[in-house]
Formats: sequence, structure tokens, C-alpha cells
Amino acid sequence: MDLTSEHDHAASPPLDDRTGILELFARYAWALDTADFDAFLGTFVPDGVLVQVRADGSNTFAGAARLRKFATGLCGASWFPGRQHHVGNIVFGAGRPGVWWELCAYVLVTQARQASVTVEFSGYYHDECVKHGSTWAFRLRRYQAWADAARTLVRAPIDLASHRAGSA
Amino acid sequence: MTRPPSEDHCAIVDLLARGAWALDTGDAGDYARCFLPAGELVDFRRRPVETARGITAIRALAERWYAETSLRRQHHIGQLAFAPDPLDRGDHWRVRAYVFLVECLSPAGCALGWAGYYDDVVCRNGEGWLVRTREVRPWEGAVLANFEDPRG
Repeated sequence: MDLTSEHDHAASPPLDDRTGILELFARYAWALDTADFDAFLGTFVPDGVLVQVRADGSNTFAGAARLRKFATGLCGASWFPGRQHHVGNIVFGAGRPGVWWELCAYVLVTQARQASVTVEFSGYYHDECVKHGSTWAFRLRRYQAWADAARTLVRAPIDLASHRAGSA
Repeated sequence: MTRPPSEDHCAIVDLLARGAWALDTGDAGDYARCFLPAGELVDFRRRPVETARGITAIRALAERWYAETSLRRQHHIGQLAFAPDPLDRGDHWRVRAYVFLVECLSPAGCALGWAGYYDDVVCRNGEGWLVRTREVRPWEGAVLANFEDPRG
């Protein structure tokens, strides 16, 4: 799916796009944190891709079957129940109003266990979101731990302004 | 329609933020005014579950929270998931939101104190939005029912 056109640009998205993408982020977090796999798949387009970026080699999950496998594997881990994905500091990059946007966001994962709450993960998302019917969905979602990413990002920051969907 | 128009979305975000600010700055009155006069607040963290009905009772409950806990707290609210009102009322939305508490123990250190969610029904009241019902629920129990081995 090539979404690029001469109309693509880096700008602040219109309010409807912004709230739609915020709603997408919330649906993703709720779906994963409550092990609702159908809802999780619903946050991606049918050929959507999730990439776990790691300094020592990334893992890619492309298409519904692989995405479901990712979610069931994660949620099946004994340590996963009790986690919540908190997302903020969204920085929008290039996009086309009502069609697609690229963005980065912080993600903090907490773990509630008995009476205690701990931080289990802090990192970032690097997403390409597309309008899919009446809602928004991920075409590509990448995530990486900040401890793993920080050194790389300092040397080679993500250029949201010049990136074009379809080139990743 | 599965989510509110953007203007309403933003107004509801503002409402939840106003409630957090009021609660975290010791303004129990303004926290209670985020609710309808006949609003209801149900705290599922307590055993037995505690319910406050009406602004006066909600304010009293918030003041009791202050008496029982540290004032150095921040409620971080996010990941608002909208759904149609369960009773299908116009100008009403069900909103579930993540909440975690940060306890600011000293100028040098903070700790996470609690994590859970609000399960609210909000409604338009004149020009603005207010909470009709709020359930304060920990991140455990029924919300984790999909996991094969939910924690007790």
C-alpha cells in the first residue's frame, strides 16, 4: 500500500485525526492488557505489521496470523497479567489529513501485582497509522525499549518530518 | 457511532483532567463538582465496596481519602476507551480510562502507589460534560478474565 503523494506533509493533524489516533492507542492498550485478541487484531489493517525492535535483531509479525501469535504468546506469559500500557508524548510527523500519519510516542508499562505496582518497561512506539473505514488502524507499529534505543536514537534520530509511509 | 465527536472527546478528556487536578490539590469540592448533582462514585478498592451518591457524599468521601492517605499524590489518567452508553441515552458515553497513582514521597523520590481504571458514564450537562457514575476499580479481577490464569 503506497500512501505517498504530493499532498503528504509534516504538520499537526486535524482534530478528528488526532482524537481518532488517540482512540486507536487506547483500543490497542486495552486489547493487549485484557487479552482481547480479536480487539487487538482490530487495531491493525489486515496486512499490518508489528516490529519488536532490538539492538541485537528485530522480530517482525506481519499479517493477522502472526499478529495473533504475538498477542497470544505475550499474554500467555505468566508475568504478563497485570500490565498496563500507558502512552503519551505523541509527536506527529508526516501525513495526509484523513489518510495516514506517522508518529512517535512514549510508552510506559506498569505491573500491578498484589498491593504493589512497578514499572516494567519504558520505551517508544514508532507508528504508521492509516484511516481504515471509519476508524484508524496501525499499518506499521514498531516498539523498542528506551534502554536499548537511547544510544541509537542519539546517533541517528528518527526524522519524522521527512519520512514517508511505505518506505519503512 | 462508537466514539464521540472530537470536540466532545476533548471536553471529556478535560473533565477527567480537572478531576485529577482537584483531587490531587486537595479541592474535594471541585472534585465533587465534576459529577452530576445526583452522581455516583463507587470505590471497588475498598472492602466492602463503598458508594457515595450525590455531590455532598462524594465530597465527603474525597475528604476522607485525604485524611487516610498522603496528599502528595498524582493521578495519571490516560488511554480513554469510549463505548456507547449502556442504557443508550443520548449525550452519554461510557469511558474507561487507565489510572495510576504516583506517591511523591520526598523531593528526591517517587513511587507507584496503585494502578487500576475508571469505568465512567459521562453526560452532557448544559454546555459541558459531567460524570454521572464512576467506578474506581483495581487492575485485577474481572478485567483480567481473558487471561488463562488470572490472579486471584
